[in-house]
Amino acid sequence: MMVVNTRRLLLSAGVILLFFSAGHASDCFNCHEAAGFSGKVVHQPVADGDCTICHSPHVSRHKGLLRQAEARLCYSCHEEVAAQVEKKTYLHQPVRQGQCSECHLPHAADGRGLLAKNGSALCYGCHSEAQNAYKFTHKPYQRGQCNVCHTAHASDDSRLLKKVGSQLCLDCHKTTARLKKTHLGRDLGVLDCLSCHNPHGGVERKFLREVSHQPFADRECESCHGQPSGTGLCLGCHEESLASFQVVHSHLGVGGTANACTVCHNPHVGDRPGLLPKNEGRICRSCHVDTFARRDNMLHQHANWNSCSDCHQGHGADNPAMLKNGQDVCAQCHERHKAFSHPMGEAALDPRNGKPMDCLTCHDANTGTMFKHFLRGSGERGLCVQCHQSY
Amino acid sequence: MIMNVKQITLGFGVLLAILSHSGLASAAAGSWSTKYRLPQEDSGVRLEQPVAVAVDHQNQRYYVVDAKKGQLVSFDKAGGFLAAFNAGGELQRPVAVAKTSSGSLWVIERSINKLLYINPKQQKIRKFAPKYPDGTEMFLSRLALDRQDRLFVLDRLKGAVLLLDDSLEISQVYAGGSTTHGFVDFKLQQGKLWALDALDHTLYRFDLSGTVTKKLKLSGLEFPTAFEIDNAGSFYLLDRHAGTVVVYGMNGMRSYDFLAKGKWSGQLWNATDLLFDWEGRLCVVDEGNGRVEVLTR
Repeated sequence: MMVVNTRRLLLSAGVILLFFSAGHASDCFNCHEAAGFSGKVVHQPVADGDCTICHSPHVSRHKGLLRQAEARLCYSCHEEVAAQVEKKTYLHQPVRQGQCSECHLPHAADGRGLLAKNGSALCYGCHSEAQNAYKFTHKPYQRGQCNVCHTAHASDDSRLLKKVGSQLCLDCHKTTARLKKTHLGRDLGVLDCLSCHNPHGGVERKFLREVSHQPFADRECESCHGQPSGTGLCLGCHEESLASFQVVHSHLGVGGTANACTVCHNPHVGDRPGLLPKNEGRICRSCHVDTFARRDNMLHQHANWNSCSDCHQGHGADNPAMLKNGQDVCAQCHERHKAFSHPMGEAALDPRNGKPMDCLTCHDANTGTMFKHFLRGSGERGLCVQCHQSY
Repeated sequence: MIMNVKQITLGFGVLLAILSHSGLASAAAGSWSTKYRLPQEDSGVRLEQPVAVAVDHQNQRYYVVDAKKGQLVSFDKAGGFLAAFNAGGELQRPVAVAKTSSGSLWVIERSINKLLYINPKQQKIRKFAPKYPDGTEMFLSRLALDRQDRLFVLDRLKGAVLLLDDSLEISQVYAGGSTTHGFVDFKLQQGKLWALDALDHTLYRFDLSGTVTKKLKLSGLEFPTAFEIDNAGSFYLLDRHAGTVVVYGMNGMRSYDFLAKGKWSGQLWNATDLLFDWEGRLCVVDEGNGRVEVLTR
């Protein structure tokens, strides 16, 4: 008799606990306007009225009374995304920062995937540089369907492409005899289509990148092909370039046994003079993986950090890190700072090594840092006491 | 009594586990400290851009290449400054040096991409531009002499090490094949040649006939630029970006690391070269801090 009573008591207590702990949207909507939680697509917990799946109604250490940090909370249900992020090399920046809500609305939206905006409108919010007008436009780009080629979360390609190499293109552009003939019979499966074609659009029907190597434009393939393909082939015509490599830190020799020039330069077409792509950081990343990985994890980064040649001399320089103009590289853009900053040069020797101070003594414009203005330490104290120890 | 022995053994096991987990064990293994630095702080000598070092084992001297000043700077066995030498202005951007047993110097002069043979006693300089049999130029970046004074050079253009004969013709090529990214440094040790593929983080061992006899893939490196090998066969990898020297056993297993990125004494800022001297002290050429740390343990 006693056992039965105890059981009943426990059962009742459980029901009471469940009642009070379960989220009831109707309770929430007493204060939070319900209209703000409706749309063509509604997040399942919202549709189920289960606000407390994500929110803690009383207290939380996370913004919006979220039960966990944003990404962790999302991954607790969206395990397939978590698995993808775990496996891939390159993460979309909001993903890396755990900010799912940069792209997704948590309650309801008008588009699939609870995206804040539809199609390319969402992407251009950050990637405005990708919004261009072309005479001839690739259909997915024209339709604003970035996700035909790009994946939004993570990829093994730094451009977040869905597939690496030519396979992405060949999924739509079937290998025909004509396509193969155009590419001189080469195995299309091993070609890098994007090195010659701009996947967004171009000035001509095949979206070839705009600047052509003269022999390619003149269809004089044999002037390069059919000869020894080493670096000497390029220097044979571009002899004047040799001097730019005869410096202390030189990029001549980055190709191993292959041609050093074609590691960076496309021998056929490019986006700009020098037959380089617009996205030059992608080339640099292929060798300087560690620098880019470090930068990816920093809170404060130099603007335009992907335009490496703004600060670095591509062929080489006498200065460490192949910096342009040595210590004056920053003054190229930050001319005013030179006049009012901390003393620099021979007038201010770094007590740590006796070398003249420069901008890079305190700032790390290369990889960025966790501190404002990419200072190498806290500007409040930590950085300054490196030298001013009596402070 | 047996119980006590067991407890003690267990205690040691736990202690070792804690030490290895916390990194203290590796710190102990890598207890390298600065013996002195070149130049010494009170010497009044300043290196602008040291990029390489060579050692004269016979006379116990160091030769540091200062690329920016266009000088070779020599130091005695205690780190004292001896002399600075610019070969009558012929050195503009030297990047590497090696000293022959007869006292002459081989120098790679980058500004003209030539190999200089300097006889200091006779004050004579000869310039050479060694080429491949097909006439292709070389782009030399490092050099070394073996015990017979045979000259080995690293051609960055092909990423290969070359053994040159007395007339500077190629007598042997040490290349990693089509899959390598090219070598950035090499060392001669006990009749073998080791070379570093920096991008692939791999060390290649060649016999002197040019055959690859071993490959060691090294883990945990960011941007290795130079290496050394000690008498026990351990490898010391200089990680330029991390500011560390990472030590690997002869099987390629990571053992420990020492030094750190920074500008204080004992820290590295864009270091470029590693070399053991006649007493097994490790010379670390630190370009960014303008000094050579000579470390002992």
